[in-house]
Amino acid sequence: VIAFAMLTVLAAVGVVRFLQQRKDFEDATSRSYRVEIAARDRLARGEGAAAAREAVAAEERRRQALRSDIDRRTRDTALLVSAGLIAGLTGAALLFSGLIASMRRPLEELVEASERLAAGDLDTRVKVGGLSETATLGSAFNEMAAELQRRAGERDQLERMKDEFVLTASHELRSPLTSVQGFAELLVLEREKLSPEQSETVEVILDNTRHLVRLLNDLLDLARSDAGLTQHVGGTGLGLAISKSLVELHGGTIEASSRPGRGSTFRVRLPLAAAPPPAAAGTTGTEARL
Amino acid sequence: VSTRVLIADDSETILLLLRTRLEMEGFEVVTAADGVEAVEAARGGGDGDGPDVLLLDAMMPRKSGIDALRELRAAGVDTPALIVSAHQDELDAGLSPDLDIGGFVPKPIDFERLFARIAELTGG
Repeated sequence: VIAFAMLTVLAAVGVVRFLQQRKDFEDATSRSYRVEIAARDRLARGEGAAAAREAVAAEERRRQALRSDIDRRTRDTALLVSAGLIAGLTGAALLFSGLIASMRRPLEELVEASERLAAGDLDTRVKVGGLSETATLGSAFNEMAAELQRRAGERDQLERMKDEFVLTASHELRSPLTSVQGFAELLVLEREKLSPEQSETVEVILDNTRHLVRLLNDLLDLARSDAGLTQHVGGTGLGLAISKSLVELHGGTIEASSRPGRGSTFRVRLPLAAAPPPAAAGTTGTEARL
Repeated sequence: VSTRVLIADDSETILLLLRTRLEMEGFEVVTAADGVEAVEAARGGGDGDGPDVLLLDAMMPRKSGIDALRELRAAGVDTPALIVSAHQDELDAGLSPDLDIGGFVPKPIDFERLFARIAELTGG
């Protein structure tokens, strides 16, 4: 490609030089005609007829020589221009086919990767390379895929936390409900001690308790159908489930230990965002203990 | 001689409810507030003082009903046992056949079914 480009430049230089030579030729021809006219004037006036005739003949020969010289240069230049034109076109063709070839593979890979990504394969990445444009495109694609993957992970985690929360809530609500229903049933067993109004009241309590149980079962079914029943945390109450969800949303962890009569210990670990570069290097702690 | 039932639950209210209903039905009742107490009470038997049936809540502090039962089975105690749980599938992990669980009692408790099951387990 470089050789073809040089040939093209050479042709362009040749054309410029030719234009200069053409001008020189025209100037020289004009000068020759002026000399000849002056010689013919002298001849007409009859001054030095022999010398004048000789001068006219000499100018005719000079112009003859100039013409044949410029004709030869015209042919050479035309040849050079043709060669330059062909070289330029060939070089351009080579350059473009090379460009297209070097863009084609990365672009094809990008198309395939996009299809895989769209099909849900969030691990998909492309090799970054080639021309700076395709490399930029490639790294932009990889960043996009990584971001998609990150968000999908977050969404899955939120789903899990939601299901866990529903399970815990459903579990924790069941114990007080058991008491309410159980004691209402006790009253029903001793109906003969109740007034008709009190009996009716207890029946209302029982009806509503059963309704509440159905609602809880539905809620549980919903969570199960979403989750494939994640494992249950259990036993620690809603407060801890909520705290756990919040801490995990921040990317942290929570642990609890409890001793009867002694109290409970809760350990919350939260990641800290990397601080702007501190004066002392190497102090990039990303975890804090609260 | 009435059937003796050990009930273990960390909720005093549930213990009161269970005791009242079981005693009304003619059972003798022993209570435990968690798995550790349940293991002690269940092992106290052997000389005829021990419970005939165990009714253990699945989720309790210190020691769960499942862990208590596992410990009792390992110690050779083969008293029939029922597990009370909010929902059975929360227990599925960690259950093995050698625990020899006599049944699950879901919350809220259906007492008629509970009495019938206890009668079956004690051959009454």
